[in-house]
Amino acid sequence: MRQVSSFGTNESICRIVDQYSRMLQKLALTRLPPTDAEDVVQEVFLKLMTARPHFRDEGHEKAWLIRATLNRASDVRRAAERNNLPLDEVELPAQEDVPQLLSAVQALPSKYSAVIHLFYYEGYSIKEISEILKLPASTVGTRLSRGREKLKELLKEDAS
Amino acid sequence: MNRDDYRAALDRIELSEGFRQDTIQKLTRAAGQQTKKETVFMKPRRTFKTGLLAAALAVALIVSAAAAVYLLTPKDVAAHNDDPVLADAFASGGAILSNQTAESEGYTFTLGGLVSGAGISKYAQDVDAARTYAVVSVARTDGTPLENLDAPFHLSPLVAGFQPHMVNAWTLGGGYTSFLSGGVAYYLFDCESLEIFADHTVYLAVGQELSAGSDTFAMAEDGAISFVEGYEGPHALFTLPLDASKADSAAVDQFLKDTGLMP
Repeated sequence: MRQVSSFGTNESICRIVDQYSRMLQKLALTRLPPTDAEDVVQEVFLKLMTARPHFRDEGHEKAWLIRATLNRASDVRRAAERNNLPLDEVELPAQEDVPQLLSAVQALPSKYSAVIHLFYYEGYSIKEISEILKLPASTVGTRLSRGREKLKELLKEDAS
Repeated sequence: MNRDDYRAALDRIELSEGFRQDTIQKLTRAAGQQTKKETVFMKPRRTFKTGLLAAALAVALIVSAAAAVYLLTPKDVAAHNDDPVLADAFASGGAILSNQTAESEGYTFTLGGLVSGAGISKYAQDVDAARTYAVVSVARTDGTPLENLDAPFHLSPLVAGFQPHMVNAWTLGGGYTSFLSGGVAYYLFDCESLEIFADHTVYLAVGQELSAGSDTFAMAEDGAISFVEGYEGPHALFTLPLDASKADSAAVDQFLKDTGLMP
């Protein structure tokens, strides 16, 4: 078993950065612009170093990183809210070169965007997502459906 | 929504050019600061409030040579830590009980015992790799009770023949919990199994400020390790009575390789 409590050696640092940077960046992009997304990824790695959790296996490690990234990205997003608007009404500043589809996902409430991303980008099943996010599978299924509906509405609005 | 469209949308945004290098530098710097800044090897994981000792605990009396100090056994310390699995391990035949003591600057340090194995703690039952658990108590030599843990002691294994910066509590993934009972401070330390080093002299250093540097430890030509001359503050260096037949040189090589500190 890999004990990430020893994370901090050169080898372990490179492994973590190379193995997970891209995945976590994509995840953070569902909430944040690219620069902030990268900052969140770095912060999550630093948290991994200081928290030094024990992992059963690589799947356990990956799930921890996913949850930490989602939480941190949501925190950063909330802190950037203007005029105390509810989260799903917050508009991110205009981002150059961010595809319309991604903008729409960013506009979703985080509980939908997380599930949408894990399903469509990472290819996890509903059962796997429920294990990662520690949610009942039925809740994941509901969020996936509602997330898709909301996304359709947003994309229609953008198109019109 | 189409999966391919979504993936394509995200894949258009790559990590910035310097991200990898910048991230590795930050993490490497943080790893170094985590050791130096605190001048200790690890942070305590949990501290227990006094008064949690259950009346049902059986307290063994161990009388030190200098003063009558009643010490909890390693089994009791584990039980106090709400770890019946580890308490059983300390009561098993695999545990090594000890009564080594050392006195330094008004303190008496006692190595209560150690035990190694995989899954022998409630807090590590899903861990496949073996760990070593050791109990050290610290009391005032004159018998006056310690009143708090405001100036805690820190612990670190060391291995003769291996530079302290390579084999220490931090590289071994060590941590400890501590509590006060009856005016005595108890430390329950654990780390990756020390048995792999058992064909060397394995130490457990205790001090209020420990670092992996040459300002704290010296290594003689024969590999023996000691605190540097003039080291200030109460401290102790126990030799751990490990079974040499459990040494594993291949595991040691792998451990050193994993630390990334090999030249």
